[in-house]
Amino acid sequence: MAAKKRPRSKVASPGQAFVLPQLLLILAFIFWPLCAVFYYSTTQYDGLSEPVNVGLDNFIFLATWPDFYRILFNNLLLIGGVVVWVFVPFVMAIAVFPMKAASTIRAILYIPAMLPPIIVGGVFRIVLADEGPVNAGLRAVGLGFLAPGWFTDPNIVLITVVVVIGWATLGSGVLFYSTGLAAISPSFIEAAQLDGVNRWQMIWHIYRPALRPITRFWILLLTISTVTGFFPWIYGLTQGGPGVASTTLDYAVYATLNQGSTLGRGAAIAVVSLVFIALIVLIQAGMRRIRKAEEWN
Amino acid sequence: MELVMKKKNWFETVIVALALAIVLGPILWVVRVALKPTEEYVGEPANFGGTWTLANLGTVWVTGGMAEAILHSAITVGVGATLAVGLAACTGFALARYRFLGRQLAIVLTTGAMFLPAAALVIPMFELLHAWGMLDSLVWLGVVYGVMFSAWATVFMRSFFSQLPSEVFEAGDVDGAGPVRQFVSIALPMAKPALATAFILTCFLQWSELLLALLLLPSGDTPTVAVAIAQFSSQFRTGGPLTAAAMLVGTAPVLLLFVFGQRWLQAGAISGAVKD
Repeated sequence: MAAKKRPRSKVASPGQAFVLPQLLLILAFIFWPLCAVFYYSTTQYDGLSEPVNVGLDNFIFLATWPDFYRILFNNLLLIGGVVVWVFVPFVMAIAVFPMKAASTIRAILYIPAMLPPIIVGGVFRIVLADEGPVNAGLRAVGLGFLAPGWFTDPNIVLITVVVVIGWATLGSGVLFYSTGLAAISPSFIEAAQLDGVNRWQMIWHIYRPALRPITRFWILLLTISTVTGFFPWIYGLTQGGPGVASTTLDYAVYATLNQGSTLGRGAAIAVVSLVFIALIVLIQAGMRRIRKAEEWN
Repeated sequence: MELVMKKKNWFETVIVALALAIVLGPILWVVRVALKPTEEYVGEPANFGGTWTLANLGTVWVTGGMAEAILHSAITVGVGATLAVGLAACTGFALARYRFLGRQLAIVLTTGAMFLPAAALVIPMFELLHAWGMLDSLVWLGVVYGVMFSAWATVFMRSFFSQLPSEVFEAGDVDGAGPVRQFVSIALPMAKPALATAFILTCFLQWSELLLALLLLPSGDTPTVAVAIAQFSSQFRTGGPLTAAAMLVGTAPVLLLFVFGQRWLQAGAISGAVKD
């Protein structure tokens, strides 16, 4: 039926018929909710009676709610975790690459990547429990002062989350960087070694620029898989606590929706999280553009 | 020679050994805890030794509801992955094969959907499903998943179809095969490994999804695996042997999927990654 349209108009094509089903469903289930959440954010809504327009009241509430600044800070700090989630697999992939057992090692490092976040959270609830094996081990070797409340100390809890996400994403990162390393010509490396380049110069001046496309791809993947969804990690590890010390924007949306009566406020938090993601994507695109301009010069 | 090599690489050896220990340690520990009687664990949560038992696995399977949870997840994930891969195959084919009005819009919408946090959409999604009586339905949750994760699958399928030489379709044109025929008889059979990879990846993403599963199945009568484990771990916040056993049982299907699908996954994931 799509083929019939073609002779009549230049702009019609079978392509449109093929993309139509997905576009309609995406409009209905994703872009309609996207528009609606902006509407709900300007209302007072309890889920039962009709939403009442209150203008920007929800946003004014957020601006005057001290906990909200901690929540924003939590999101920022966790996004800073990207540096760790990129750097560690980068170094690890380089270290593993020349080894005889490289593919076995990479397969083992990949195991956590196959575990759903909620299960990773459960694993570390057990391993990092106050009286659990890690803390018991630290105390046994006289490092008891280093055995913190991994989930109960508001100054530690976000570091715990960053480390756990790093644990879970390490294997994928190593895998991607390894495909990048395999594409670097060995003669390039040998030439550098002959010039007496040391390990750190090698990493900084050879591997880092050569692997930049992989780094870009990996950051993008982390952004869409993790930064847009801290929720399952937070739920599994800390349930946002202690207090709001590890509450993220998406966890806060869940909490308001779960309590039921302040959906307008939840929608306002959702809008803030959208602005947040938009800023991150813009910053990444901007950095890429600046770098391109530099390379041009 | 070997000695020189060893001396030179000690640093690499140490950090890799450390990484392996850090990755495997927690997993082995949790497997151990899952195979331990609860009473023993409560007394000494940091003790690796003691009795070994399979009783916890039976408990979470039968009375803990993990068997039902796996069935629920299988329904949702099956619907979602089939829908996602079906939509992605159509869109990926069209984007790779045709230049048409609205193509750019289609790319922006499908790619843009990947960046949208589920949390930002969940309140209106709840209202939408509520209005149509689709709440608490595993099948409709699968449809929502299918649409959400179809964006990922589309990027993947598009890059696969772009790599196919255009001659195969031109041959179809010459033989008088219409677009539908070309899609069904030429594109899809060639894309089998890519379809399988996309299927497995979307299965995995859905198996892990928690937020929508918690909020769009509000009665809690038909929990998915992620929800069931979340309930387990909220009940026993410190995470006893029963939680560990539930996690073990809940991971098994994903691990099996990865093991059986590995052939396609490696080839597919890597060709997708190096493209840039």
